[in-house]
Amino acid sequence: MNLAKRAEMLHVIDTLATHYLKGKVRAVRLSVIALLSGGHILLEDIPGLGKTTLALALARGLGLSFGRVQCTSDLLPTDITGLSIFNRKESRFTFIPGPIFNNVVLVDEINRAMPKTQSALLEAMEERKVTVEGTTHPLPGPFLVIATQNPVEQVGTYPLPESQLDRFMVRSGIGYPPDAIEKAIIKGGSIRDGIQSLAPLVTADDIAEAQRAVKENIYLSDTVVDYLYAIVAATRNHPAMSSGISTRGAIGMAETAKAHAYLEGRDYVIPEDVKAIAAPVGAHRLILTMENENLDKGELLNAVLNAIPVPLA
Amino acid sequence: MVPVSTLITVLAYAVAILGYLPVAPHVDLAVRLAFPLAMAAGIVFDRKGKYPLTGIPSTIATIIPFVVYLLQLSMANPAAPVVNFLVVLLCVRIVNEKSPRNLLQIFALALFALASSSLFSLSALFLVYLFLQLALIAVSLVLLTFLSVDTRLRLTRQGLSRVVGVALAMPAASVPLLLIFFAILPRTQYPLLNFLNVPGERATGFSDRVEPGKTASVGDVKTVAFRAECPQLGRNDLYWRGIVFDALAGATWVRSEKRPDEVPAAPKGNEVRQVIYPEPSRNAYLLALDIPTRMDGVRASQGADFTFTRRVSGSGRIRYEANSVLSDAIPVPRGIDRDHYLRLPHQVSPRTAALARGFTAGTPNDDERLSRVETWFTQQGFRYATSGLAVAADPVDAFLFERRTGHCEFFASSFATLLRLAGVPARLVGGYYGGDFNEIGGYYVVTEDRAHVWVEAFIEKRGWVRIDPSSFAANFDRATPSRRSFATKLAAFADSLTWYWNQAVITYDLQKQVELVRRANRQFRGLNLPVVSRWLLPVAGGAAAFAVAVWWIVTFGGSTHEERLLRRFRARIEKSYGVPRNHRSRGLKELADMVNDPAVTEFAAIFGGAIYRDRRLTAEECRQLSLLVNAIGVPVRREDDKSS
Repeated sequence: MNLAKRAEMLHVIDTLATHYLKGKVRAVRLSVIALLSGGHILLEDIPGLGKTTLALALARGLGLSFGRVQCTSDLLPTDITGLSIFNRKESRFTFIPGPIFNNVVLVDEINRAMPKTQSALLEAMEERKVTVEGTTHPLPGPFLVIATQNPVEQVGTYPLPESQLDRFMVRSGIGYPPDAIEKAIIKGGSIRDGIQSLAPLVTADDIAEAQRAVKENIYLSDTVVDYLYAIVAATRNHPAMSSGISTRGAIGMAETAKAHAYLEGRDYVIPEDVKAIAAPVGAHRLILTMENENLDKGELLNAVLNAIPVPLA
Repeated sequence: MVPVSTLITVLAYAVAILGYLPVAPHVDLAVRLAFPLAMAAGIVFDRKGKYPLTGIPSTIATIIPFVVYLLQLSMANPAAPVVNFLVVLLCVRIVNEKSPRNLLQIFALALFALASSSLFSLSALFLVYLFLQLALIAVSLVLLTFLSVDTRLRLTRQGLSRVVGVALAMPAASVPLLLIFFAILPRTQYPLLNFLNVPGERATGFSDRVEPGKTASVGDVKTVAFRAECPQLGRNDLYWRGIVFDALAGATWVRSEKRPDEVPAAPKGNEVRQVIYPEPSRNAYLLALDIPTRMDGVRASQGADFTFTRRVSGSGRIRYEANSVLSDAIPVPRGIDRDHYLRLPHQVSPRTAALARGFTAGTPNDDERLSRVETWFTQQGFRYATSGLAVAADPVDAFLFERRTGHCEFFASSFATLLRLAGVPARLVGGYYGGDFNEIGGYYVVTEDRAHVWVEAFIEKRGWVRIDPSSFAANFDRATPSRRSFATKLAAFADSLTWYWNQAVITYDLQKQVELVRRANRQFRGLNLPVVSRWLLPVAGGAAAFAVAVWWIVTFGGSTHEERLLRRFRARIEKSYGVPRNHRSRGLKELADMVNDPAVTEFAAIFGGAIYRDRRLTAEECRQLSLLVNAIGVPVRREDDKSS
């Protein structure tokens, strides 16, 4: 079995989840899965549950550069991508890269940015390069965008349209930590300072190697592909859904399932991997019919999963 | 330290030998030799820990003898093939691994073998074998429970002796119960708890004295007195003769100690042969159709009045054969002691005497007097009843002139008294009258409430002539019973089962059993239950075959090795952990996480590793998975075991 750098990846998750991000194992794990499968993650939760802390800790722990964009309605695309400024000494325009030119980019409250800015950001996420004034600047790898949005506050926001939600590999909540852990957190106070002193646990090369291992060494069998397709097809034919998981969504599910299998220490994907990532990866891509809009998409997808037999031969 | 597995293996061999020895002289030579060979092979295999004959060789070794012995099976030879096959099965089990399941099979087969040895010969040695085997099996079963918890358990000598002691205490404690249930209870002649509810009224039934006028009513008891196998007869022939009362003690008719000698001639008429199965009772008189001439199968002494008494009054069930002549007269050509049969009760009321004098007017012969008494009796319109009876010191007077109702004892004793007063020698005969014919078994069931008393009058030239005064009752019904209802048919059927049970089990005898089965077969075929019987067999057979076919198809139809393994896996998990097997949306790993069993986890890993890599299971993996399935639910071995 060739699961390169798996131990290191697990070590990162372990260290972060036990010492810095108590009670957020799931979110950390999903973030790492998104990173390994080359996708981006959208954290959807109310403020103050540690979304920024998560992004910060992840960036420090992974030894990656960190950039942050706080979105407001007057944020311009160039505030993200960067812009050319006239250099008087050299008498020419020089490109000043924006915060997007980092390995880990935290886009806080993405739904507060205006659609123009959003689409510029999403384009950068998808293309992994930024074109400013005719010059294309590639973004550094690995590249992980952690966007957050507040689902409760709706005034003065520009909710991401479904087509743009589809570009996030993973959407997840964080949730309140368990009682005991939250009490410990309250007692210990904020750990921002601790995170500042967190030494990198892996290098960018390690991450690249791990990404390659997930992409190339994890076997995705026809059996599991059939299963995945059955899920996708079921969401497309579901009476409560006006449209189901897209092909991009299905690819995303396959990639994240591989990453999940990698973290589990297997060089092949089993249906349980697909099940584990189905809700975070698939749910936000579902578009419900008008009369069912209030249903929880994650629950709905789980119901679909429970109706599909797991292939066993 | 003694390993339990070794101990139990040794015990299994001992039990098997105890099963084999008693049947060894009766099985085929090949089978006789096969057993020691199988023992030797089994011991060698146990030593090596390898069982090369498991699986297909064993199956073949089972199927071929099965076919061979099935072909040999016949009505004439029902036991030998079965016993041979039992020993073959025992051999096969001994050669294979001594898993708890196989051990249990060895015990069961050995017990069956021992039991079947009784089909050939039944010596006292059988009991020795049986008790030895039961003791060994009891110990083995207790040890088996230890083994199933921990296959590598070792016991210290002390612990072992305690286990064996407790294990032996169980069969020992059951011995008293065994004796009560199988030795004492079946041999009691009367229900044990009968004394608790002694009825206030006298029950009808056969008795050795006739004493009318003692109680106001008698109750009907429907308990079976005896069953008699014989052809169906007319109702007028169904007088079952038991006892003859020749003397009077006060108003009570008894059988006197000193009966005059008389030399009866052989009665003439149709001979009927009966096989009679009396229910156990204290009564020493043997019953048979009137007039019995011969009894076989029991030691009996015959009286001059054709009564038969058992010489050895024993308890338990007996059966005897009787020859009877259907005739209503016993010729006594040399005559009788008339005085003895003309003795009168101490007390004869004046009106009775006056009545009797009317019969003798004009000195007619015996025949004439008898017919006069009969005529008078018929004209009176006496009523037959079992309640509202006369209770009097002189029951004859009370019956004839006051109550005018009574049961057979009143009728018979009054009639006989009148005859004697009229100068005709008379005596009473006790027995039963009638009976329900069971068409299925071909026998009569005679219940206690059919006990009856009638009169025999001596007429010159004819001899003792049977007269049933009860038949002169106004409400006497000689009509044949109405068509039987389904309920009585069922009752008859149930009774025939009891009868067959008595015949087959209580009076056990292999030859007779075979004969019985054959006859039962013939007679059940004759039983014509409406519609049901004609369709029952084919329909039931068809349904069974269909069910088996469906089960086969559902279970094995077109399934691959993987599917079969998986089915076993799911079944095992359901059994061990109660996780329903039909939850199709649950993956193997999910199951493994749910039940937290290392065997399940390993199974999921191996199975998933193959099918989710898009390849079939290898033979080695199949074997491994098969072992893992069996390990599901078995407690994890201790740490020190892993190192060994």
